[in-house]
Amino acid sequence: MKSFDPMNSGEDYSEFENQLRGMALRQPPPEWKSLLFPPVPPPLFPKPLLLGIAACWVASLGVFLATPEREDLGPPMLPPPAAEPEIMDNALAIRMENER
Amino acid sequence: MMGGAKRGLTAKDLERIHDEHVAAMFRYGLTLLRDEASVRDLLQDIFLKLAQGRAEAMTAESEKTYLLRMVHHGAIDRIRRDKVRRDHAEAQPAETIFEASPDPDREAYRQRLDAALVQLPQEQREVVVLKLWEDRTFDEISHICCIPLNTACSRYRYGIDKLRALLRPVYEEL
Repeated sequence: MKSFDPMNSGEDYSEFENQLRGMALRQPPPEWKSLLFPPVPPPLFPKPLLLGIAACWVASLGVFLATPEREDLGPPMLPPPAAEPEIMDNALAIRMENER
Repeated sequence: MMGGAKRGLTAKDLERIHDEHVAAMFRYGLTLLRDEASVRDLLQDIFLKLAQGRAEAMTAESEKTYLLRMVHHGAIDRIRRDKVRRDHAEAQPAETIFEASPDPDREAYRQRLDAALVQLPQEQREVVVLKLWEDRTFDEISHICCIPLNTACSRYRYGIDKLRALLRPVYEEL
Protein backbone atom coordinates (compact mmCIF):
# COMPACT_ATOMS: atom_id res chain seq x y z
CA MET A 1 0.00 0.00 0.00
CA LYS A 2 1.16 3.49 -0.82
CA SER A 3 2.26 5.48 2.21
CA PHE A 4 0.80 8.94 2.75
CA ASP A 5 2.92 11.85 3.83
CA PRO A 6 0.80 14.71 5.15
CA MET A 7 3.22 17.27 3.78
CA ASN A 8 3.27 15.64 0.38
CA SER A 9 1.41 17.88 -2.06
CA GLY A 10 0.15 14.72 -3.71
CA GLU A 11 1.81 15.03 -7.09
CA ASP A 12 2.80 11.35 -7.21
CA TYR A 13 -0.33 9.37 -7.95
CA SER A 14 -0.58 5.61 -8.23
CA GLU A 15 -1.67 3.96 -11.47
CA PHE A 16 -5.14 3.50 -10.05
CA GLU A 17 -5.39 7.16 -9.09
CA ASN A 18 -4.12 8.25 -12.50
CA GLN A 19 -6.78 6.17 -14.17
CA LEU A 20 -9.44 7.84 -12.07
CA ARG A 21 -7.98 11.25 -12.89
CA GLY A 22 -8.35 10.47 -16.58
CA MET A 23 -12.14 10.62 -16.37
CA ALA A 24 -13.73 13.46 -18.32
CA LEU A 25 -15.43 15.92 -15.98
CA ARG A 26 -18.75 17.66 -16.43
CA GLN A 27 -19.05 21.39 -16.90
CA PRO A 28 -21.97 23.44 -15.61
CA PRO A 29 -24.69 24.04 -18.20
CA PRO A 30 -23.79 27.16 -20.25
CA GLU A 31 -27.21 28.74 -19.64
CA TRP A 32 -26.34 28.94 -15.93
CA LYS A 33 -24.03 31.87 -16.54
CA SER A 34 -26.91 34.31 -16.92
CA LEU A 35 -28.80 32.70 -14.01
CA LEU A 36 -25.94 32.88 -11.54
CA PHE A 37 -25.32 36.60 -11.77
CA PRO A 38 -27.56 38.63 -9.50
CA PRO A 39 -30.00 40.94 -11.30
CA VAL A 40 -28.60 44.43 -11.77
CA PRO A 41 -30.70 46.97 -9.81
CA PRO A 42 -32.18 49.79 -11.92
CA PRO A 43 -30.11 53.00 -11.65
CA LEU A 44 -31.39 55.65 -9.25
CA PHE A 45 -31.12 58.31 -11.97
CA PRO A 46 -31.71 56.71 -15.37
CA LYS A 47 -30.06 58.36 -18.34
CA PRO A 48 -33.30 59.65 -19.99
CA LEU A 49 -34.23 61.38 -16.71
CA LEU A 50 -30.84 63.06 -16.47
CA LEU A 51 -31.05 64.14 -20.12
CA GLY A 52 -34.51 65.61 -19.50
CA ILE A 53 -33.33 67.54 -16.45
CA ALA A 54 -30.32 68.86 -18.38
CA ALA A 55 -32.59 69.98 -21.25
CA CYS A 56 -34.85 71.78 -18.74
CA TRP A 57 -31.87 73.60 -17.28
CA VAL A 58 -30.67 74.70 -20.72
CA ALA A 59 -34.15 75.93 -21.66
CA SER A 60 -34.51 77.86 -18.38
CA LEU A 61 -31.11 79.52 -18.90
CA GLY A 62 -32.08 80.48 -22.47
CA VAL A 63 -35.33 82.09 -21.30
CA PHE A 64 -33.54 83.95 -18.50
CA LEU A 65 -30.92 85.37 -20.87
CA ALA A 66 -33.43 86.30 -23.59
CA THR A 67 -35.81 88.22 -21.25
CA PRO A 68 -35.13 92.08 -21.20
CA GLU A 69 -34.56 93.78 -17.90
CA ARG A 70 -37.81 94.93 -16.31
CA GLU A 71 -38.51 98.35 -14.77
CA ASP A 72 -37.72 98.69 -11.15
CA LEU A 73 -40.98 98.95 -9.30
CA GLY A 74 -39.46 100.67 -6.23
CA PRO A 75 -40.13 104.27 -5.00
CA PRO A 76 -39.89 107.12 -7.61
CA MET A 77 -36.43 108.42 -8.28
CA LEU A 78 -35.66 112.13 -7.72
CA PRO A 79 -34.46 114.05 -10.81
CA PRO A 80 -30.91 115.44 -10.70
CA PRO A 81 -30.60 118.83 -8.87
CA ALA A 82 -29.68 120.84 -12.04
CA ALA A 83 -33.00 120.15 -13.63
CA GLU A 84 -35.02 121.40 -10.67
CA PRO A 85 -36.87 124.79 -11.14
CA GLU A 86 -35.47 127.71 -9.15
CA ILE A 87 -37.30 128.32 -5.94
CA MET A 88 -38.56 131.87 -5.82
CA ASP A 89 -38.27 132.59 -2.13
CA ASN A 90 -38.26 136.40 -2.33
CA ALA A 91 -40.82 137.06 -5.05
CA LEU A 92 -41.52 140.67 -3.95
CA ALA A 93 -37.89 141.72 -4.21
CA ILE A 94 -37.68 140.22 -7.62
CA ARG A 95 -40.72 142.19 -8.80
CA MET A 96 -39.35 145.52 -7.46
CA GLU A 97 -36.12 144.89 -9.22
CA ASN A 98 -37.97 144.38 -12.46
CA GLU A 99 -39.95 147.62 -12.07
CA ARG A 100 -36.73 149.63 -11.84
CA MET B 1 -6.99 40.13 -6.79
CA MET B 2 -10.21 40.30 -4.87
CA GLY B 3 -9.26 42.50 -1.96
CA GLY B 4 -12.34 44.60 -2.59
CA ALA B 5 -14.78 41.81 -1.83
CA LYS B 6 -16.09 43.69 1.22
CA ARG B 7 -17.29 46.47 -1.05
CA GLY B 8 -18.90 44.05 -3.45
CA LEU B 9 -17.43 42.89 -6.72
CA THR B 10 -17.99 44.51 -10.05
CA ALA B 11 -19.78 42.70 -12.87
CA LYS B 12 -16.38 42.24 -14.54
CA ASP B 13 -14.91 40.56 -11.41
CA LEU B 14 -17.93 38.28 -11.12
CA GLU B 15 -17.61 37.25 -14.74
CA ARG B 16 -13.93 36.45 -14.31
CA ILE B 17 -14.63 34.38 -11.19
CA HIS B 18 -17.37 32.59 -13.05
CA ASP B 19 -15.17 31.79 -16.02
CA GLU B 20 -12.21 30.63 -13.92
CA HIS B 21 -13.83 28.78 -11.03
CA VAL B 22 -17.46 27.91 -11.65
CA ALA B 23 -16.70 24.45 -13.08
CA ALA B 24 -14.86 23.39 -9.89
CA MET B 25 -17.56 24.97 -7.73
CA PHE B 26 -20.25 23.16 -9.71
CA ARG B 27 -18.60 19.73 -9.40
CA TYR B 28 -17.81 20.17 -5.72
CA GLY B 29 -21.38 21.29 -5.04
CA LEU B 30 -22.65 18.29 -6.98
CA THR B 31 -20.40 16.00 -4.93
CA LEU B 32 -21.97 17.26 -1.72
CA LEU B 33 -25.58 17.92 -2.70
CA ARG B 34 -25.93 15.40 -5.55
CA ASP B 35 -28.69 17.47 -7.08
CA GLU B 36 -28.17 19.93 -9.94
CA ALA B 37 -31.03 22.30 -9.00
CA SER B 38 -29.74 22.59 -5.42
CA VAL B 39 -26.23 23.30 -6.72
CA ARG B 40 -27.59 26.03 -8.98
CA ASP B 41 -29.39 27.65 -6.02
CA LEU B 42 -26.26 27.39 -3.91
CA LEU B 43 -24.08 29.00 -6.59
CA GLN B 44 -26.65 31.78 -7.04
CA ASP B 45 -26.43 32.50 -3.30
CA ILE B 46 -22.64 32.56 -3.46
CA PHE B 47 -22.52 34.95 -6.42
CA LEU B 48 -25.09 37.18 -4.71
CA LYS B 49 -22.91 37.29 -1.57
CA LEU B 50 -19.90 38.19 -3.69
CA ALA B 51 -21.81 40.92 -5.52
CA GLN B 52 -23.13 42.42 -2.29
CA GLY B 53 -19.72 42.34 -0.60
CA ARG B 54 -20.90 39.88 2.05
CA ALA B 55 -17.81 37.75 1.49
CA GLU B 56 -14.48 38.24 3.22
CA ALA B 57 -11.58 39.74 1.33
CA MET B 58 -9.47 37.17 -0.47
CA THR B 59 -6.25 37.11 -2.36
CA ALA B 60 -5.75 35.76 -5.84
CA GLU B 61 -3.68 32.80 -4.53
CA SER B 62 -6.41 31.56 -2.25
CA GLU B 63 -9.32 32.55 -4.48
CA LYS B 64 -10.32 29.05 -5.57
CA THR B 65 -9.81 27.64 -2.08
CA TYR B 66 -11.97 30.40 -0.63
CA LEU B 67 -14.75 29.88 -3.19
CA LEU B 68 -14.72 26.11 -2.63
CA ARG B 69 -14.95 26.73 1.12
CA MET B 70 -18.01 28.90 0.46
CA VAL B 71 -19.49 25.98 -1.49
CA HIS B 72 -18.64 23.63 1.40
CA HIS B 73 -20.32 25.82 4.04
CA GLY B 74 -23.33 26.54 1.86
CA ALA B 75 -23.81 22.87 1.00
CA ILE B 76 -23.48 21.72 4.63
CA ASP B 77 -26.06 24.32 5.66
CA ARG B 78 -28.45 23.09 2.99
CA ILE B 79 -27.91 19.45 3.89
CA ARG B 80 -28.78 20.20 7.52
CA ARG B 81 -31.74 22.37 6.61
CA ASP B 82 -33.20 19.98 4.05
CA LYS B 83 -32.39 16.78 5.93
CA VAL B 84 -35.89 15.32 5.62
CA ARG B 85 -36.13 16.12 1.92
CA ARG B 86 -32.60 14.81 1.37
CA ASP B 87 -33.32 11.51 3.10
CA HIS B 88 -36.08 11.00 0.57
CA ALA B 89 -33.78 12.00 -2.29
CA GLU B 90 -31.13 9.48 -1.22
CA ALA B 91 -33.18 6.86 -2.99
CA GLN B 92 -32.89 8.76 -6.26
CA PRO B 93 -29.81 8.19 -8.47
CA ALA B 94 -27.18 10.82 -7.67
CA GLU B 95 -26.15 13.26 -10.36
CA THR B 96 -22.64 12.65 -11.51
CA ILE B 97 -19.60 14.90 -11.86
CA PHE B 98 -18.34 12.87 -14.85
CA GLU B 99 -19.11 13.43 -18.50
CA ALA B 100 -21.00 10.62 -20.23
CA SER B 101 -18.89 8.72 -22.75
CA PRO B 102 -19.98 7.41 -26.16
CA ASP B 103 -17.64 4.44 -25.66
CA PRO B 104 -19.74 1.67 -24.02
CA ASP B 105 -16.82 0.25 -21.97
CA ARG B 106 -15.85 3.66 -20.69
CA GLU B 107 -19.47 4.54 -19.99
CA ALA B 108 -19.89 1.30 -18.02
CA TYR B 109 -16.76 2.14 -16.03
CA ARG B 110 -18.07 5.65 -15.39
CA GLN B 111 -21.32 4.28 -14.03
CA ARG B 112 -19.49 1.87 -11.73
CA LEU B 113 -17.24 4.67 -10.54
CA ASP B 114 -20.30 6.84 -9.87
CA ALA B 115 -21.92 4.06 -7.90
CA ALA B 116 -18.70 3.51 -5.94
CA LEU B 117 -18.32 7.21 -5.16
CA VAL B 118 -21.88 7.37 -3.85
CA GLN B 119 -21.05 4.54 -1.46
CA LEU B 120 -18.26 6.54 0.13
CA PRO B 121 -19.14 8.56 3.23
CA GLN B 122 -19.63 12.21 2.31
CA GLU B 123 -16.50 13.27 4.25
CA GLN B 124 -14.30 10.88 2.25
CA ARG B 125 -16.06 11.55 -1.05
CA GLU B 126 -15.47 15.31 -0.94
CA VAL B 127 -11.78 14.90 -0.10
CA VAL B 128 -11.28 12.37 -2.90
CA VAL B 129 -13.04 14.62 -5.43
CA LEU B 130 -11.08 17.71 -4.38
CA LYS B 131 -7.79 15.85 -4.49
CA LEU B 132 -8.17 13.73 -7.60
CA TRP B 133 -10.26 15.87 -9.90
CA GLU B 134 -9.87 19.42 -8.64
CA ASP B 135 -6.10 19.13 -8.04
CA ARG B 136 -6.22 20.65 -4.57
CA THR B 137 -3.37 19.97 -2.15
CA PHE B 138 -4.06 18.44 1.27
CA ASP B 139 -3.33 21.81 2.82
CA GLU B 140 -5.97 23.46 0.64
CA ILE B 141 -8.44 20.64 1.31
CA SER B 142 -7.98 21.09 5.05
CA HIS B 143 -8.89 24.78 4.61
CA ILE B 144 -11.84 24.09 2.34
CA CYS B 145 -13.37 21.42 4.57
CA CYS B 146 -12.24 23.06 7.84
CA ILE B 147 -10.47 19.90 9.03
CA PRO B 148 -6.92 19.23 10.23
CA LEU B 149 -4.32 18.33 7.60
CA ASN B 150 -3.88 14.79 8.91
CA THR B 151 -7.63 14.22 8.81
CA ALA B 152 -7.71 15.29 5.16
CA CYS B 153 -4.88 12.83 4.38
CA SER B 154 -6.48 9.94 6.23
CA ARG B 155 -9.91 10.56 4.70
CA TYR B 156 -8.32 10.50 1.27
CA ARG B 157 -6.46 7.28 2.03
CA TYR B 158 -9.57 5.55 3.33
CA GLY B 159 -11.60 6.85 0.40
CA ILE B 160 -9.12 5.63 -2.21
CA ASP B 161 -8.82 2.24 -0.51
CA LYS B 162 -12.58 1.87 -0.50
CA LEU B 163 -12.88 2.95 -4.13
CA ARG B 164 -10.18 0.45 -5.10
CA ALA B 165 -12.05 -2.31 -3.31
CA LEU B 166 -15.38 -1.33 -4.86
CA LEU B 167 -13.93 -1.13 -8.37
CA ARG B 168 -11.86 -4.33 -8.12
CA PRO B 169 -14.59 -6.47 -9.73
CA VAL B 170 -14.58 -4.11 -12.74
CA TYR B 171 -10.86 -4.64 -13.25
CA GLU B 172 -11.28 -8.37 -12.84
CA GLU B 173 -13.99 -8.32 -15.51
CA LEU B 174 -11.68 -6.40 -17.85
